[in-house]
Amino acid sequence: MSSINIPSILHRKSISLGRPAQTAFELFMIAFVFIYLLPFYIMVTQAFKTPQEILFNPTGLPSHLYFDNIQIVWAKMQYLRAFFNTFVLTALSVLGIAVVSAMCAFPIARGKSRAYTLLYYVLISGLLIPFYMTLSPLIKLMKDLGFMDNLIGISLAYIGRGVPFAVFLYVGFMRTIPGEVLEAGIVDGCSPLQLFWLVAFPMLVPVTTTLIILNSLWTWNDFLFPLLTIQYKANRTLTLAQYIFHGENATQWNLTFASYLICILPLLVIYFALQRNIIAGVAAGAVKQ
Amino acid sequence: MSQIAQTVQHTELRAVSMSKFLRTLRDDLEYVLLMAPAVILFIVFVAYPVVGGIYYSMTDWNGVQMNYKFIGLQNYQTFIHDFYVIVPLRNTFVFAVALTIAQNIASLALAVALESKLRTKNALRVLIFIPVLLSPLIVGYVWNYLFSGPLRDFGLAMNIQTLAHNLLSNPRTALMSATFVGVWRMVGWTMVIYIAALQGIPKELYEAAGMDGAVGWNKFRHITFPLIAPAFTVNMVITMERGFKEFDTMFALTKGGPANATEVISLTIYRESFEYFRAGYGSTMGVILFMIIIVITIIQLYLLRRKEKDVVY
Repeated sequence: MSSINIPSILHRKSISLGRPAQTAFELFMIAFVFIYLLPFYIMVTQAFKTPQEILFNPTGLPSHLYFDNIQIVWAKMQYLRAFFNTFVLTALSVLGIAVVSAMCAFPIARGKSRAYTLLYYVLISGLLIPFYMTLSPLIKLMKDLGFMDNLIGISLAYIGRGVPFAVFLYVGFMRTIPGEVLEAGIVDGCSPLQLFWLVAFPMLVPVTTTLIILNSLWTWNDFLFPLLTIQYKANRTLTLAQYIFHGENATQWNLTFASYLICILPLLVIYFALQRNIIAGVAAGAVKQ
Repeated sequence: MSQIAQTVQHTELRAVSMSKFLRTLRDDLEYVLLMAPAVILFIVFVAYPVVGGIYYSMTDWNGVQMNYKFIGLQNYQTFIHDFYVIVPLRNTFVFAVALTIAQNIASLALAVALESKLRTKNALRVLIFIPVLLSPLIVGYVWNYLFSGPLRDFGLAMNIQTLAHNLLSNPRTALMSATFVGVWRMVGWTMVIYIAALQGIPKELYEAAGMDGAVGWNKFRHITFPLIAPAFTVNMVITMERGFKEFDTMFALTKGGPANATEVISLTIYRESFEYFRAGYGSTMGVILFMIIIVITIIQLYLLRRKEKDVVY
């Protein structure tokens, strides 16, 4: 009798902690997240202090909001220009990766010939290649093609580099499309191209969303490739402008923190608007692996 | 009569097989058209540079002029005897392994905590994910400042000896501090993946296990963990790979210093190729990094997948 009772008591204790314990745990987690995000507090407060105040009051709130930092950085970084460049580069790359890879994944997922399987393995073997191995030849290639300082050319390179992962995800999801749906399309007289555009691609919206999110995080924040392919100020991306600005003003913390802030702000706005989709997208991308 | 019918049937058959032939021809053509853009871009921007990297790794190319010589495996011999390459290689291993372990423990703990019955759990998840969005460069710069200023002041004020110095400027603590920053940046990513896996576990299993008397750690060890094993595999592979490829954060945080304490192989490759103008030797290091990553990924997948197969669902 007792051998049955004891475990069940223990069980009840472990599943639902008592009320006070539950509240204590909740407060602990809130405190943890608060400490975890303290760097953002520093970032925001420093951005609104005068250079003198940062020195004598490094961790407190600014005595009054000093907006000059933002103004100076905005002009010096050519913020709007850099933002526009980053946006164009990210949009072209991300949409390009999705369309081109979905198109390529369709025959691979449907085809029965061994050639498709071979092609599939060749493409996804690209996942293992470290970027640093291809660095010098890739930059030389970009020079030879005249793609230096060319946002379209640079986005083509991003598309090529994004193909392995995207094809991998798309093939996995395309194989889950029921055969009858596609057969129905064939009976209605669809050619493979029509079958892809009208039937298969619209069914892949969830994977496409995941890919757009993951690739946006990658291209928007990428540093090394823009560093090596962009030379003119007018073509700089945000991360690159950030790097050069930091190099020129490294000790003026009020300015550098203002620059971090204006670079991060648009991302945070998008994130809070779409957080559910973004988090679900990241999880979906990994679970399929 | 019957002969005519036969001829008609025959021509019909021929017409059918002809149109069928044309249709498969059209289908094949359209398949090729669908695949062409991705395959071409892959060949140009991935396959060709890989072949180029392997080729240049056997030359003394400086990365700028094209009057290089083919020198066979000489760079590889240099690499084996290169005293200065041992430090970045060791640092890369230490960083990648420490990052993998710390990040997976931290994110799994967070996932379990934030999958319990907290009222604020959704908000907390959303907040912990924020650093993932930031550019690693900015993360590096911000933490560089935090270590040099506020954290040191905090250590002094609280009289915590370890924090009272700039941890990044001490060769003994710099690499671990960099690992901490890496975990801070990406813990939300792996946490989200673990949460998705935890949500896939049927609640009845816990109830059944409760009946059998499983509690706390036992329950985690025998139910939760086996069922999230696939997520564990994914996260181990993702973080290890990230660790081996880390560049931006380290570049902004320490630039490899102090005294090469945080010099990782990606920084060395970058410097060899674009600062010291030894692109040939830089490519050699890239090829060796590639081989290391392949071997480690295969070992990881082998060990972790085998563990997954042991699981009886």
